[in-house]
Amino acid sequence: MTTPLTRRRVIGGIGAAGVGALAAPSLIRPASAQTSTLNVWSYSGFVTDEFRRKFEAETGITVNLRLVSDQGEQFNLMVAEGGRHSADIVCVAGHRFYQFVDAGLLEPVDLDRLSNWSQVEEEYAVAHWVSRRGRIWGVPLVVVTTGLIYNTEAMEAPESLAVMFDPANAGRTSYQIQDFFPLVMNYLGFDGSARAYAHDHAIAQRAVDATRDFLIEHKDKVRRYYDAATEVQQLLVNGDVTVAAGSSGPAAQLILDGFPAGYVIPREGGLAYAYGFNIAAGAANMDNAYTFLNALLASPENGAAIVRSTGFNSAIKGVEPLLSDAERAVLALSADERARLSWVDVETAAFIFDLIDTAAEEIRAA
Amino acid sequence: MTRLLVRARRLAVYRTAIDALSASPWLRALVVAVVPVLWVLVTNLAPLVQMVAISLLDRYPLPPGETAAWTTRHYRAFVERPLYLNAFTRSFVFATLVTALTLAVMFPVAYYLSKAAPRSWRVRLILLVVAPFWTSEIIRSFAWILMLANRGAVNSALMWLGLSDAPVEMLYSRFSLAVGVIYLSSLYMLLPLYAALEKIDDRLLEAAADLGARPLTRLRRIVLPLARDGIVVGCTLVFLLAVGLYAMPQLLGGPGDTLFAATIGQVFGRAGDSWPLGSAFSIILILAALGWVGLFAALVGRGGRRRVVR
Repeated sequence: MTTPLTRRRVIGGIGAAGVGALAAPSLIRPASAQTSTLNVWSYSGFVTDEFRRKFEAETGITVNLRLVSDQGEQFNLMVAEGGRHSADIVCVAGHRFYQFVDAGLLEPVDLDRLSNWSQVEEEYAVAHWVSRRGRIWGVPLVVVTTGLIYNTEAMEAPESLAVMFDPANAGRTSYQIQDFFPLVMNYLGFDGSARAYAHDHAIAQRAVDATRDFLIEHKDKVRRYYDAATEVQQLLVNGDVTVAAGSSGPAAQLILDGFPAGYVIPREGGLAYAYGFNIAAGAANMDNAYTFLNALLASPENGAAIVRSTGFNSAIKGVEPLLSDAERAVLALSADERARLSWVDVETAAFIFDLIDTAAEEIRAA
Repeated sequence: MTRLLVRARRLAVYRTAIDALSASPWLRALVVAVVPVLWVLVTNLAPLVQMVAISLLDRYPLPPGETAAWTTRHYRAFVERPLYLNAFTRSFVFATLVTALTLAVMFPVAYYLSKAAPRSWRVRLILLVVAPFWTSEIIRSFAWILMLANRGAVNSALMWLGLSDAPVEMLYSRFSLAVGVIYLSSLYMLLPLYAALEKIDDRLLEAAADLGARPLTRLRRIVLPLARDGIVVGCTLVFLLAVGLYAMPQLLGGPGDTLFAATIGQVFGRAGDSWPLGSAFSIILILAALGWVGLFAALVGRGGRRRVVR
């Protein structure tokens, strides 16, 4: 039997739908208040689909994943939430995490609840970018280095950052300003780590201003300032640039995909830092957060999967034997290159990156 | 429904309200206007007021329990740091040029659609022009990336035809940005122009032609003055859209094409308490854009009125 659609029924239906819509906010509880969910903010590839499926099936916890692409964006969103965080786990860069800790956005890790903490590589478990004020504040996940990515069919392996400012490469280079800036400071003879300027902001400002002016002067060499790792990959694959300053992850992925790319740490040096998962202060699903972190550290297979999806080295023990020869070869750096790397100084990072962020805005605006 | 109204009529409050509304057209207008006015106030004005308030704070966002002092230093930063002025000036010059180019490109299209195309085809042709706008700005930007990239469709065609030996670098330049923005904003110019041109009585143009007016004279003396409202509306919409563009310049523009909206986005994205600076820049952009459009409308409007008086 079919029910005839009359004007009265339509109006009644619309009215009921309207009442339902108005009542929806009180009927739908926020995800963060539920106990069978976990809200994770992460960079792409850090929570692999395979791990997520397995974790959800084994624990019954639903992972709500929100992809982030920028530390500043994540910081501002957390501060704006005024202590009632919608995320349980966030993904903070090692050199930025002091800023998050000092702003009260993170929860110290309770090692008694993190039974698989011993699966973190020892050199990273005790690193100064994991602890502050005698507490551990996150679980290191991947290690990133920054250097030069180049098209091997278009140029020889560059030895120096000078290649980025060579008139022969005008309009053929690309970089992410904030990541490249400390390297250029080193290239110009300043201290990119800002350790030397920690007690004198005026000197630091002059060094940053001089580097900013240098980069503005050489703006014609840049085809594009990129933001996400995938952008620099596209620029190289599309033939838009021949050399770019970038991190090890996108370079490794390009090489493994068969693109004629190379990755070097220039003689002026490169930076190293880590990304980890951190628990948001007062996380609504604290138990689920620990379940998630324990599950992640439980098997080196999870670390290997992250290596394959990001191209970054893993901070989890036992990952290397699980990688193929090609993957190991791409991820490995020579002893010389490793010696040229310096870890971002976490003590001065917030101070110098604050100046660099402003300089980056001005470089783009110029 | 009728039963409900009959029952309601028994209530004194209802009767008084209905009688008052029946007696006063002003009250009826007020009741009708309350919802839209509230909507405008809540959705448009409230965020702006909040942005003005944030722009006058020393720092924001604030950790729980902390307060900020009032200051105007973020407005002063706009003039004290000349590199920000570059992006601001570039935005206005770019938006003005794009508006003029969009008008130049879309006027003939609108004229064709409203005057030359067969009447039975007009709706179909307009739908054809509108069709690309069913997808988002981002998708259309990526479509242009695929077209203009070194290994994109345009370069492939140029090289296949033997017109170029190496890829012509078109992407990430002012050219690619202008092409993308004109494409993006063309609809906002086309529809007001079409509406204005369509209203012009064809007999006026025929009479002018019979009296010996050449096509250019007819365009200058009849079409343009009568399409003035459409031109003003179209230019206003396109200019305001172009001056505040964020995503497309990020995707199609080069390192020298950063517009002020992107600068504002970067300031907001900075880790820390820089929202007041971003808010101050936003307010400056809004006021300057409205001022610019107001000046344009006043100049064109005055010119049009003079012509009519003469």
